[in-house]
Amino acid sequence: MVEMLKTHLRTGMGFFVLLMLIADPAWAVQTHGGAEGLVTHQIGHLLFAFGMGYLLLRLYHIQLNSQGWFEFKIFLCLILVWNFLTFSGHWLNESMTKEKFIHSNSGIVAFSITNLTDALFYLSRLDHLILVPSFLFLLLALHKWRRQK
Amino acid sequence: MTVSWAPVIIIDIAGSAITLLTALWCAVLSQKWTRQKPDDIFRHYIFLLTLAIVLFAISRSFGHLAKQLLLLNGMGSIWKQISPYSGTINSVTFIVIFAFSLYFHRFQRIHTRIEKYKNNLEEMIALRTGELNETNLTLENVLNSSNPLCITTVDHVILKANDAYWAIWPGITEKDVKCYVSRPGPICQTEECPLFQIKAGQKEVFRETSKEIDGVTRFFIITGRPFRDLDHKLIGIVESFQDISLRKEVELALASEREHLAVTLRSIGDGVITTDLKGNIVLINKVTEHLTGWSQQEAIGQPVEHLFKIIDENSGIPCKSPVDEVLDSGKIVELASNTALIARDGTQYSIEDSGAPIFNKDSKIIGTVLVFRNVTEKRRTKEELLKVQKLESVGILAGGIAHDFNNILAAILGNIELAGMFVGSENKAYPLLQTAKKASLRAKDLTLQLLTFSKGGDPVKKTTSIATTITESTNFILHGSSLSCQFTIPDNLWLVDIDSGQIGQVIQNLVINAKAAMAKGGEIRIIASNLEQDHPAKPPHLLDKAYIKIAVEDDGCGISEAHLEKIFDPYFTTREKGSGLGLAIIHSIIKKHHGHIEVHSKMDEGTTFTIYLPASEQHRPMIPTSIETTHSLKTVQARILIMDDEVPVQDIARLMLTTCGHEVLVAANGREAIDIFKEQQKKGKPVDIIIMDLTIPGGMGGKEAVVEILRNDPSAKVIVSSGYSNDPVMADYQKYGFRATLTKPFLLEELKTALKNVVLAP
Repeated sequence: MVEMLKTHLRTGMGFFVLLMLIADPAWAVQTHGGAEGLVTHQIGHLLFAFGMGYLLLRLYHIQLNSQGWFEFKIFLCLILVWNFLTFSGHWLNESMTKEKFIHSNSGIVAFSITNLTDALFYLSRLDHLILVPSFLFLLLALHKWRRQK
Repeated sequence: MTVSWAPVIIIDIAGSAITLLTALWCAVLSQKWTRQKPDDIFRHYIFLLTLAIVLFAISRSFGHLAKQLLLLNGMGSIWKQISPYSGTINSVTFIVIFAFSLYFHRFQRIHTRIEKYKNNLEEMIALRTGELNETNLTLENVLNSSNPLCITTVDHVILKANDAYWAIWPGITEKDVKCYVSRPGPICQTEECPLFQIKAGQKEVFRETSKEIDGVTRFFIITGRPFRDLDHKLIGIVESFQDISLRKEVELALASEREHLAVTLRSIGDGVITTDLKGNIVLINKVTEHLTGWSQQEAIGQPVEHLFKIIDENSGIPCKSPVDEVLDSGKIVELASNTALIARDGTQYSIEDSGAPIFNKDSKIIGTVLVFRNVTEKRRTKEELLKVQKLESVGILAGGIAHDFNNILAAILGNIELAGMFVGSENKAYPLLQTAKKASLRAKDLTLQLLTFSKGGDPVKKTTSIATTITESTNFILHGSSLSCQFTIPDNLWLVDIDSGQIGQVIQNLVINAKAAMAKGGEIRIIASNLEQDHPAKPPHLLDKAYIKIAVEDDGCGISEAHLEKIFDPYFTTREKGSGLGLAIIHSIIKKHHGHIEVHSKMDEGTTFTIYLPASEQHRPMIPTSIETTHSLKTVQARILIMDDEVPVQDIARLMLTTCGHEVLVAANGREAIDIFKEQQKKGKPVDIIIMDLTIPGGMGGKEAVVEILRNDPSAKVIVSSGYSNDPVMADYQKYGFRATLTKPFLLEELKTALKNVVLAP
């Protein structure tokens, strides 16, 4: 188990280091460069995702069938998806050029999608569409657990 | 393709806000869920994980909201400055969440184990609880099925009590009931209190208590034992209450029965002594105390021989202890008939006795019981009876010969007397005839005395005052003597139903004895007194009625102890000239009067004879009898019919009467006399006087003949003649129709007197 964890950690860390080296920050959206460092944040996402995945895996093995665990698993799945989505978003954000963002006086008003990467980036900016449901499922799971005696 | 950026902004803002709120709600629910089971480590884990996620959500939502607001307001530069912080916080929360996630397995495993342990523990607890409940139920059942029981703390608070206890002593509804409130009593909070005793170190305490339930007092015995905790520290007392009411009732009944038996034993009229196997006294009753002079306290534990000293009454030799005989033989043993008990003060009691073994339920001898009775009086009575029987034998003999003897004497005496008359006083034969006459008169007296013993000597009783009889009889004997007599006779001396002649004879004989005992002179004292029915001086064997007591005391030579027992025997005398009949006759007369005579005498000090005679139902003193007037006698020539079966008596009577100038007719029996009487009446020569023998063997006697003669001639004058001078007919002749009596043998003068009395009689 520990060995597996170590393997996963090594793999994850290597992937993120590579990613950070090739990314180019985009001013128009929130970035995690600067003092924080994108790599750090991306590693955080990966750890988050890894943790959720690990929980999912354990839950799968231990077969908890009582009420609430199903919703919790959905939460984990959604948060896992969200992690990958936001991870991708952060990664793609670095490759987005300024021309992709159409500004007005008040700021960015539109985004030019020219390829699948752009589309994926735009979609990653809508991550709350996954995050909010995931929390709702967490809420539902807690609610069901609490109802149980 | 150009797409609007607005959805990005809107969804970012709205999503952040919703996420923030949802996250906060999750935090609240998670906390509540955890609090539902605070000891559930897994819930705590989920709670922490949720908090980390919520923290992430809050951090991110605030970051995104701040970003959107700053950008929308053209403050991108500011955002640029703070975004690293926001991002870092997010990154930190990622790491925290990651860290928590990694521990999921451990927590889950611990949780599983704990749950397993918990389940096992719960199962075990359930099992043990079940067992405990079962045990508790059993204990409760046992507790409630047993006697009243309560556990009290050292502070007197009743910790636990069963239903039986509460049913008797109230307080179940109260809290912290004190034992002295529940069952107050005189020993509460004193040193006698069982709790105090247990606290003082006693291992077991027994007390008795009682409680009135439904009007009935029930008794309980309390058994108190220490109540200790697991460390063996004394924390109270366990008291059980055993209902001993029934036992108490039985004990009371037994005690009552024992008391009843003891009272019965002590009230028994016979003496009772019980001993153990060693012959030591276990119990004596009141009669034994009285007879032996030992109290029960003194006697218990003493060897029976110390208290029960018995001797042979005749020889004075100590008898063997009946206890030893009983223990040796194992059977009932009776003492010899002449056993006497020597009391502590030396008094001797004649006793009848029997000893018997006492067996236990296994038929083993555990002791002996002696039962004896004082038969001193009984023996005395028996001796008295023997004397009476002796006298009766003499009486039967005397009665048998007296009749014939008197007839013979009548002939002898009559002839001697007539012969004396015929020869004259100057004839040489006259003194001889006088001597013969005296001897005949002595023979007559002897016969008369003998007749006293016979049936024919039954007293002819009349209610009279005995005072005159006493004084006259005494003075008659003492006339011309140097002795004096002091009479102490109260005026109110009760009347008695007596034959004055016989009682006079008694007094005379007693005075004669006193006179003989006081040859040198002196004073005789005769004391008469009344004895009430319950007078203490009255001998116990007398009837339950009033008596008069006459004591004749002298200061003479006294009677020896050896002679005292025999003085009432016929023909026993210590005097040379005594006939030995005087006291025997006295005894006989007194017995025939249903009285009693006692004698107390001490050598050289004197003798006292005490007579007890039943008082008449008419206690009032009798009116003095009228003094009989004497009448001058005058000679009467008469036709006299003599009826007697004895020819010598006929002859001498005829001779006496013809000598006196009378005409005499003779008949041999009553029938013949009647015939002659009638025949003479028919002839015009009626018979003036008839002298009839009372008893004619094999023929009609005077008693029957007079009835027919008087039927024929009520004015007929009939004299009854008999050798039985004490015959009731002789004593009460008028009742039978006779005018006078003539006791055979009779002197001429007596015959003349009888004839005169008939003639003078109305």
